[in-house]
Amino acid sequence: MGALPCTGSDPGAAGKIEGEVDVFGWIKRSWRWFRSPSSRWALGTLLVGGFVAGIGFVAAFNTSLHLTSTDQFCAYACHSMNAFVAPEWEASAHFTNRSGVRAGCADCHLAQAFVPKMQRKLRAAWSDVPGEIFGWIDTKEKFEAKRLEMAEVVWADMKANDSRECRSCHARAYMDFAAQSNRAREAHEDASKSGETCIDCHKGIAHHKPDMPAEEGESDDFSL
Amino acid sequence: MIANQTRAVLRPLALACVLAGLSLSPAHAIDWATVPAKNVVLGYAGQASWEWVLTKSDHEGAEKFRGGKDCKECHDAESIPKDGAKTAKGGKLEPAPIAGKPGHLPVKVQVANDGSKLYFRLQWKETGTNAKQSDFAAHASVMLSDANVKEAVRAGCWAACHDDVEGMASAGAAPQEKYLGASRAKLGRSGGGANLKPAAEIDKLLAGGTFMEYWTAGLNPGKPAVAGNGYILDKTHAAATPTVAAEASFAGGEWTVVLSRPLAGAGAGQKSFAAGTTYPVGIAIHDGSTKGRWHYVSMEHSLSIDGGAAEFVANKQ
Repeated sequence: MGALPCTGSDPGAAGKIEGEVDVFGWIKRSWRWFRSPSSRWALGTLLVGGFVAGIGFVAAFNTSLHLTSTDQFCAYACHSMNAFVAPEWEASAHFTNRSGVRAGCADCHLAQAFVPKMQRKLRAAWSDVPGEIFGWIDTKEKFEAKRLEMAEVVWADMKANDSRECRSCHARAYMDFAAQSNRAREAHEDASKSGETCIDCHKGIAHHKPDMPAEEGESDDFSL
Repeated sequence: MIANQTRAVLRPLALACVLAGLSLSPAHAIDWATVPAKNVVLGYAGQASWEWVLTKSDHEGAEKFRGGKDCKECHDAESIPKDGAKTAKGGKLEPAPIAGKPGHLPVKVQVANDGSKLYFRLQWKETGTNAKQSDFAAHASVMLSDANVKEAVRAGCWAACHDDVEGMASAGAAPQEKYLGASRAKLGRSGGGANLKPAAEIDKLLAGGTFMEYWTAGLNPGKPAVAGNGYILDKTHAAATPTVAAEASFAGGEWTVVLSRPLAGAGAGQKSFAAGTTYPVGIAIHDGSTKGRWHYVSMEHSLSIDGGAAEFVANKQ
């Protein structure tokens, strides 16, 4: 087994320009090296080394997942969140309440299960990070202009997953309807029958609700 | 001789006391201590008009309301203060908030009749704010109707509160007075404007009982209440000579107001109140020298005379 291939030229490559990096040759040699059995390291060494490296990788992965899911990171690390989103959350009952329970960013916006959690993380890498870098919502005006669009993405997610993250803390089965106001009791009972999910009614509870666009036909008739 | 002198002093004094007592009491005084009271929570609604109520993108409950749920089924004594506080502090529904104005006002309500008159007694503690909008420190008002005005049955005073009425969001340069939707050819999101039905149709509506009657009292501490009344259909028609009487007292920061008028209506624009009918009722208080939309208003309530299943039953005293 040779040394790890590096850049270089393949004398056999037709039409190659002198000094140009032969990418395909490099990949080919790397793959060959990767598949070759070791003649230098003992199997035990490889196993133990691999195990330790695996633990190290999982620890690093988990730590990075954790660190990028904290309120400190999600709400305060970026200008856009710090300036426009965090103050609204801080003024809501999900930040301070009589029970002393706080729902942080990840509690509402990040699934607990691995696969949907990673899906959300990947989407953050795809949209949220470039958004911050390129300043898509770095002024109040830009933020307000996109508020509805951003909210609708979150609402659609919550609707699609039956308000999964809400239900991490709130469950209809645990509700004492008798202790609720008439309005809440009736709404929850109605929702039980109609199949509505939390986000159908509870929009704008931790962030300001956007101005909703008029729906077609909603202004056609104001008689009873 | 001393006894005669004492009698000579005491007799006029006693007579004066009796006369003074009579002058403070209406002809058929109600013993309010024996009349059951209900506590009603009035809320601050700002520019939430009838059209706002029915617009889904403005009001989350619009669909439920259109689907048959009345206002009070969602907006109860627990939720009104929360919603009112949000509105009163300023925002989309209140672009010109009054500093320190609470979002709700609890009012104790009693009703009775004495065989000839219907009485409302309202008691509330002033909030301590002063907007200096009005010559009166406060106004107490009730609005009454019957099943002819479906909007009043389901939404109380909102039946007459449209988006183009003075002080409301679509008022513009030519605001309307309060009116009922039935008087307009069509209502849009901005209200019905001056798009009135023909006069003959409006006359027919009035004759058929499609109107809301209002009773009101302008209040200043230490001064007699100034009564007024009228009806609302195509606009607000104030009675030239009020047929409603108002008495008021103010003590310890609390207003006590009694509004009354004969059970029998005095012609067009007045209901004749009788047993067996349920009348929708709305209550409004302009506290802290306010006028127009800066008031506290109740959800829809109901009244019946001499028994019945209404929330307020005006039994004969």
